Amino acid sequence: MTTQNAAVRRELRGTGMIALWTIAWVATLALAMFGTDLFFGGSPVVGWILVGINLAVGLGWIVAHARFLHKVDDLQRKVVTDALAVGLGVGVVGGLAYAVAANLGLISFDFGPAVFPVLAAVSYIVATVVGNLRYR
Amino acid sequence: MKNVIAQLRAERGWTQGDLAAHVDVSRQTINAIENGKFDPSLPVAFRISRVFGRPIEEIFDDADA
Repeated sequence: MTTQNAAVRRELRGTGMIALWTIAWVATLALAMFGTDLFFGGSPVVGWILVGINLAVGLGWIVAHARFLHKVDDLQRKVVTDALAVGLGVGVVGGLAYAVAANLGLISFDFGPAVFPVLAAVSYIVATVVGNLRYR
Repeated sequence: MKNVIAQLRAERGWTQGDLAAHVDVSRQTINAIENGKFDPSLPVAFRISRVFGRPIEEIFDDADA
C-alpha cells in the first residue's frame, strides 16, 4: 500500500539521516581528538576549530534526532524514547558506578571517560531492538 | 485499552497493512493497538475514527483505564 510504504519510508529515511549524523559526529570527534596532533602539529587554533566543528555537527545530530521523533509514528516514537531513557539511564548509572569503582581502585583496567557514551550507545541499540521485537 | 479495531477491519476485509495505510502509521502500530499493547495518541485515534466513520468512544473502551 502506498501510504503504508510512505510511513515506513519516512521512518527509514529518518533512521538513515540519524545514522549519517552519527557517523559525521564520530568522525569530527575523532578528528578533534587525534587530528590536531597528527595532522596540524598540535596547533591550538586548529584544535579549537575542530572542537567547534564537532560541536556544530553534534548540534545537527541532536536536531536530526528531534526531527526524527516528530516524523515517526506513535509506536516508533515510544520505542525510541524508551530506548533513549534506557540509554541515558544505563550510561549515567553504569558509567558513574564504573567511575566510582575505578576511583576506589577496584578495577584494574581503565577505559577512561569514553565508557559513558559507549555504555549509553550500546544500551540504546539493545533497547531499540528489544522494543521493536516486543511490538512486532 | 480495549478496542474493536480488528472487528471493524474484518468487516471491511482489510488487512492490518491496509488499515495502517489509511491511518498513515506502520502495520506494527496497528497490530500493537489492536492487541492492547499500545494506546494511540489522540491524533491517531481521531484518524482511526474517521477511517471507520465511527465516534472514538465506539471504537475504544477505556473501562480498564
